[in-house]
Amino acid sequence: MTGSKTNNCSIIFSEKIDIKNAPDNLDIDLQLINDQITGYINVTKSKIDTIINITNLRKKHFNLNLNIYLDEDSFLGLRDESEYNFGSNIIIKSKMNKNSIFEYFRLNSFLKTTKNHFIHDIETSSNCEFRDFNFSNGSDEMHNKTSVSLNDENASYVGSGVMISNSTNSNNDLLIKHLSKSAKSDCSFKTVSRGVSRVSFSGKVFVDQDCSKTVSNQISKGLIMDETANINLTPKLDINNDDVICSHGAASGKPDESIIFYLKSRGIPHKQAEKIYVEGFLGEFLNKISNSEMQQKAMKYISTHC
Amino acid sequence: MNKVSKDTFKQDKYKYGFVTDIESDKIPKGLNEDIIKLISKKKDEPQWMLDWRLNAFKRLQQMSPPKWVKAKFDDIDFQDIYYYASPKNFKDKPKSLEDVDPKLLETYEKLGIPLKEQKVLAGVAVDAVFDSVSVATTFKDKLDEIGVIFCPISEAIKKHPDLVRKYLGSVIPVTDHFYATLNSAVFSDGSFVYIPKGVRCPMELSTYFRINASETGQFERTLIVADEDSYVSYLEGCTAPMRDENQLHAANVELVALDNAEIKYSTVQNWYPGDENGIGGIYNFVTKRGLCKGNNSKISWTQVETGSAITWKYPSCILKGDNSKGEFYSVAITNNFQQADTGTKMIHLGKNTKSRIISKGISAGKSSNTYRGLVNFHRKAKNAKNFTQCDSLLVGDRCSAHTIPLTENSSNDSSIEHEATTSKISDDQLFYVMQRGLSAEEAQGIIVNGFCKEVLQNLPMEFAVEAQKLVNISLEGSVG
Amino acid sequence: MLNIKELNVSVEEKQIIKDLSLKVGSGEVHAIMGPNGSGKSTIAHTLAGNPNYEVTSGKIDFNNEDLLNMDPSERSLSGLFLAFQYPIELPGVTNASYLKQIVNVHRKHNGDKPIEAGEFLKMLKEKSSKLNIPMDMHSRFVNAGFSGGEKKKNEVLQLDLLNPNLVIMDETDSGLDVDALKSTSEAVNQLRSSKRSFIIITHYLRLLEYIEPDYVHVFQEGSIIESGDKSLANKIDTEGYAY
Repeated sequence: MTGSKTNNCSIIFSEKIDIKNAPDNLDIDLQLINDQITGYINVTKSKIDTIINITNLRKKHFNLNLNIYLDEDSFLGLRDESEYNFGSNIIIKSKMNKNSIFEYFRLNSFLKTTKNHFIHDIETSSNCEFRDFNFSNGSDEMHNKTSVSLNDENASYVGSGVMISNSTNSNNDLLIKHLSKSAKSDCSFKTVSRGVSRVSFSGKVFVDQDCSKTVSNQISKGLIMDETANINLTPKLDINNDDVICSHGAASGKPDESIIFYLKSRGIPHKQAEKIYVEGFLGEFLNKISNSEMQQKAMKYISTHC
Repeated sequence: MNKVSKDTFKQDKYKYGFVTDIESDKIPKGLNEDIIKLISKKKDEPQWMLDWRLNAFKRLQQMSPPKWVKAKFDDIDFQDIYYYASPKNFKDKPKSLEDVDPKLLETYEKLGIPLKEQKVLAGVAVDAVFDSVSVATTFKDKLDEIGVIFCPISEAIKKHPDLVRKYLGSVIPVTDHFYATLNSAVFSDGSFVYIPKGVRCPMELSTYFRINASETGQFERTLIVADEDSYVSYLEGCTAPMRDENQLHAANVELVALDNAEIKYSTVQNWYPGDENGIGGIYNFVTKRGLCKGNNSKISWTQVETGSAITWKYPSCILKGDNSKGEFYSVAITNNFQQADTGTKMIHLGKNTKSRIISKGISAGKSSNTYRGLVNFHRKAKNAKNFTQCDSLLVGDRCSAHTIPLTENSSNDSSIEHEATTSKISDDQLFYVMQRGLSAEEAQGIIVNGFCKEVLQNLPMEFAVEAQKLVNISLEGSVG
Repeated sequence: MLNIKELNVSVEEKQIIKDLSLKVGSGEVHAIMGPNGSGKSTIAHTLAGNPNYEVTSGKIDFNNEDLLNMDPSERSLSGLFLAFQYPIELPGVTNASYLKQIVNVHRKHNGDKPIEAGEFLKMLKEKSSKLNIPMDMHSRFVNAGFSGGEKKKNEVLQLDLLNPNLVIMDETDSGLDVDALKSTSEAVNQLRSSKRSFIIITHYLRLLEYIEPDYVHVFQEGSIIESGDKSLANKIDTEGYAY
């Protein structure tokens, strides 16, 4: 598990599907039929970490239906830094066997006028860790739905979403089900909303009756930059056991004028001061990304898009 | 802590569960136009009021009871309820307390609400509502002097029709939702309060609701209007006998605050919660809404919800006037099989409007406790601010706590802040306090009261102490 | 007064105390010294009845009663007081009302009426001033946001208010500066009497310079390995626990 060595490979979607440098412990089968990509990725037991870089170069609406399986003690990093300029419809089902780690990065840009749907269901086993980081600029119609089942003891979820919305509409749903003892979840969502935007975030934490020693944290925060921008945050808790520590927080509003004023008093022009402030706001939870290369990329993503 | 204190508890019976042996005059069961006409006739109402009710009934027939609530219960047979009951031979409200049936006075005495003026709580005027009628109102003369109207709504309909017609249904529209509409069609009695311009009401006004007759619903209607620059603090309390049937209580409460006016509304709700097996208890489906109509107006709701089998209510504020303020302070305690789904809505329409929500939910036994809230900032609500804190405390591992706060922000010049925590009473805290000699139950009481402090301190002094005791009683039997 | 016989205690199924025996007579002051992690605090919490500490075998007699049969509040009411190493915070509960309540349960146990508000305030002022506790501390919530020193003083104040006959002080000296240590020790010394016994659990000699013990026990790996008088404490101070 998380050995010092890493195998890097890539999957490129274009007119066809190109798989490069797939290591021995990776079993990939992907079919492209009638503009629909279907298939699976299996990661078998290995001391070497596996990282798959996904690139979308298709000039059409992107349709993917993917099953992912991580065997015991395996590590999979999935990284998608593609542009989606024709819309997308992605459905992923993931299953994690015990002691496995799944780290999923999405740093995507979407063309404003497209429709994008994303659904990810994850089932974990004992001592699993699922890390989910999504950076997005939204589109006219966007739905993101992630549902995590923490099925066995000591499973954990760390997730962070950043939505930089310039006159886009997005619904972001996150459901975390604590179905066993001693599971942990930690989720954050940050958004900045400009122009005629509507950003919704609904995060639900469910703790089943027998799930003692649950620890769950959820925070969602939004900045409203224009009169026509709109942010709806709904952090829900559904707790059915008393031996838990659960908290959530939500906040939305305008930028803190005193901070912007402070920066301006140091000679920084208004636009730049605002940018510094917004970047800081969106980057608050980047320390949750343990991989420093990806942390840098996330920072760069924020800086380019906001 | 179970090792320590399994046997320390003896269940205290619901103290207000007695039945007053007084013959009641009920109209036939069922819900139809004739029943509504009969209720209106019993109350000797003017034609406009009857028309208003009939209109509501007409709309009701196109509606059905809402299903979205978290609570689980069997469908209610609305034809199997008595919609009106009064103590027998109770034609008009007695002119003075000498004319009130001694059994009724005794009932309120037993409930801790003395109605005889020499004994009344200093500084508190009481309107006592027994089933469908108001039986007594204290301190009437003193209030008359300063122009404060505090009377049963049935009386206000006759004596102050202009005020009632102007404001009744102005905050909760007749067709708001099923139970609100049902109330509009069949409401029996409740209180009417009008505070004239510039008057600061010198005493607490309070209504005490009592359900006595069996198979009877109580549909109270309360309307409070605070005219410009006025202030009033109002408190309601409620109890019912212990019965193995479920009784429906569907009230509508409307508050209107004009420019610079302030209304403080406090509730100590202690309807019969059902027994430890979940049999019986009141269904408390209540619509409470306040309109901060004027600039700089303020409405503050404080509630301590300990009773009822099912509680379903969201005292809300519509902040229409600029600089208006809304507050909601709530303690909801559920034990055994109780289900509470409560919270608030703060609708910010005006500029510089502010709202504050502090909710403390405590669930014990096999109960379920939900906070459901909405904070909405309209685009024009410039510089609006909201702060929400909702905390849940769980006692035992078979209860549940749910937090469903919606925040909708369309104002770029505003801030919404929401915080929530869920936890249990820590074993360390219990052990620490028990080491000082307090029993497990006492230790739990002291910790829970600390948890609720921020809310309880908003109650008027006279009731804060009562509420603290109620908090302890409600949790009895839940330790260990 | 207290007789511990062959006591074995486990925490989360791990044995911490092994065959501990100890007798404490009326008016005696016993110091239990030992390195960190030796299980000293376990003795304190076991005596007070913390349910997280499981007594697997052994007996404890307290004033000829079976201590192990009592729950924590019964132990308190029969005169056992534990000054916590880490006093617990009670948010929302004001210190004054808490102190009054604990005083009243003990009065009730002794068949006395609840204390009058005025009398309580007088007593609280008097006892607080002995410990240099400002009165405004009592309008704050119990231990919440208190400094380490304030918490410890609040423990000694409760000890003074409850009048126990066996006091267990669990590392009361930790987190106290020299002045606070002095005033706290002085207050404790004033509370010494022929009817009141003390068990003082500490890592350092420091506290024992102010509160002189009759007996010193060296506690290591779950049991007492040596007992003696105050000179034993000095020996530990110069030679360390590994002498």
